[in-house]
Amino acid sequence: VNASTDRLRQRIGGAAGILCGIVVGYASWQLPLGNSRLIGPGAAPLVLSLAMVGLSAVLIVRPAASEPEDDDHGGLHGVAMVGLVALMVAAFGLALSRLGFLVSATALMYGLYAIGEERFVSLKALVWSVLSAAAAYLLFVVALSVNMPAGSLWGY
Amino acid sequence: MEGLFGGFVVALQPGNLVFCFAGAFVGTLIGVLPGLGPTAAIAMLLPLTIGLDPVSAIIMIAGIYYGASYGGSTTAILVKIPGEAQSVVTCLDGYKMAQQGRAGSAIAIAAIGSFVAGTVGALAIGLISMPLVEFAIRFGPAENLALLLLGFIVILVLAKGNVIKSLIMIAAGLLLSMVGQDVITGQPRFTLGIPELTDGFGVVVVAMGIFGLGEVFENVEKFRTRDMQAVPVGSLMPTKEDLKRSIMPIARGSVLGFLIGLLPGGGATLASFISYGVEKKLSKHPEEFGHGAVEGVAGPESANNAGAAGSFIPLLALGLPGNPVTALLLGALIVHNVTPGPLMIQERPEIFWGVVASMYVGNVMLVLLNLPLIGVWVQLLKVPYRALYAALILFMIIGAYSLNNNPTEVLLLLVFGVLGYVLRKLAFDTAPLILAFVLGGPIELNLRQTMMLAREPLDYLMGRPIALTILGFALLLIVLPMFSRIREKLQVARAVNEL
Repeated sequence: VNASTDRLRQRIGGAAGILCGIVVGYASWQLPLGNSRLIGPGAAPLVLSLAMVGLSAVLIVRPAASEPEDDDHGGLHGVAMVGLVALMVAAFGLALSRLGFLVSATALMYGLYAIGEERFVSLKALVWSVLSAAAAYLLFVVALSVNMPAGSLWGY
Repeated sequence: MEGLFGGFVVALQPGNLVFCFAGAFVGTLIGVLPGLGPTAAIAMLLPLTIGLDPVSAIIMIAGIYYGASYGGSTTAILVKIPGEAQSVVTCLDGYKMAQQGRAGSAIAIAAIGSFVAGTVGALAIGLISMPLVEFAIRFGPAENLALLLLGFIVILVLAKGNVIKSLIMIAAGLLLSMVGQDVITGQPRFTLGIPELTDGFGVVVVAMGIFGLGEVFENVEKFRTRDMQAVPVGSLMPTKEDLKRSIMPIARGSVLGFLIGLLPGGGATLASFISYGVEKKLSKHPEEFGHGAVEGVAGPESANNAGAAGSFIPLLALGLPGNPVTALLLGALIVHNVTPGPLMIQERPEIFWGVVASMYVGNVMLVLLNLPLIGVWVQLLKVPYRALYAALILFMIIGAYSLNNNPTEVLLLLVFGVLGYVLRKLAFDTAPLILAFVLGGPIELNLRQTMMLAREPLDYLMGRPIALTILGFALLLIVLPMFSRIREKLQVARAVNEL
């Protein structure tokens, strides 16, 4: 990572910090602030959000010195892979109650193995996904009595 | 020591032995994977303990911690990739030893050192805990607040990289901890009208997302470039010379590591770095350090294990996590309806002493089981990460869901996972954020209670000598580095003038 990219990265972090600070500061302002003896629920977050805005501004004006780090980046391809994995997890979270654990876990695992193999259709991924979903079901639901949904779509 | 014996009775029950073994085993399994350390391992494997009773669960988590630390050392020695900061120092001489065909010796010395340090740590906890708890029972809100502030200052002093970035992370962590009902008035804050946020974010979901899922995302990005080349292990029998040279570093590392672990913000990482420095300074052959000196493995490996044991004391006795691992453990204790603190030893002695004894038992297991299994761990290094990551994600998802049997927790896990990934990409250290998140609730509560009790804050503080001493110590920690920086600048200016 060269110095200018690193500075840009830190300034993006600083800008995000300022944005968060302003939003939280505004939300805190709507809450009772209290007084010095009876501090209200809005006081501490207001002080912290102001501190966050100030510190983030310092980071933008004076970015920290570059730190040695891992050069092993996956580039855009890597970021796309992360995006796909995140989408799979989100889909799992949304489908879990309706489809039930076994079906959604099998679908999730297929997706994750397929992403790992970088192939859309894969028999190996299918076999592994069925096996791992079944193993997780036996371990968590049967052995450890974790209450996972069976699926409202199937009438449970 | 009576309590410690009681702890051994708990830890040596067949069921708990099995959970301790399972924790040490799966902990090593995850810890061996390059890039994954104890924090990520606990975050990922916490779900395995959800259905267990609190004692077995905590014993298993302690086993995971030790197993992952041990696994991280193995990877540091064989492939020069530390799972976590505490293994960084082991890479320096451990990998050099491996390149010289002494990998087996380095791994064995690391295991022996860890075992000795674990033993020292368990005994020392048995001796120190009760007096500390009796002292801590006298603490009021002002003392608790002072201690929490001291913890933050130590975290800042020791934080990796830029102080401003660490402060931003602390502010963000504190703000995250304030989502949910207000601790005094019960008024909802920043809940956006979402009922699931009324109780705030769970520690486990936040930590599992930022440390666990964030770590997995980062590794997913590097799928194409992650091929490991482990050096051959060779004989696991250390030479007489290696053993002789390791005795004193192991002894020093054990004592030093334990003492450092007691400090808020201390723990395994700081202990290993300081031990390395001490050994280099005391060595008759300092030039060998960085080129395969066995002392460079023995000292830090003992120190990080003893430091880990030491850091359990503030957590279990005071309820104060001093580092990310103990913050996660605090979350795990809360999930199992156990509140750590001075009253825990009296109210739940089986958990307190069971955990302490299981540290020792876990270390024995690591030596007895993992040295013969070293070949298996080396084979595991050859399994591509793309085949393992799916199982890790499924574990975390099940864990998140099972906290409240609510799919919203899965989505929150994802949100924090993405946040952890983005923060890593922006080169922010996430450890201060997690610590601030965990300590945020107690800090705000103690601050507001202190202000309610104090008509005149300064007069009130003057009447609290313990709080005043702790705050004075915190102030020293801020001022001393400033003085040394000013002195350095003056020396440089003088040198320039002389030129």
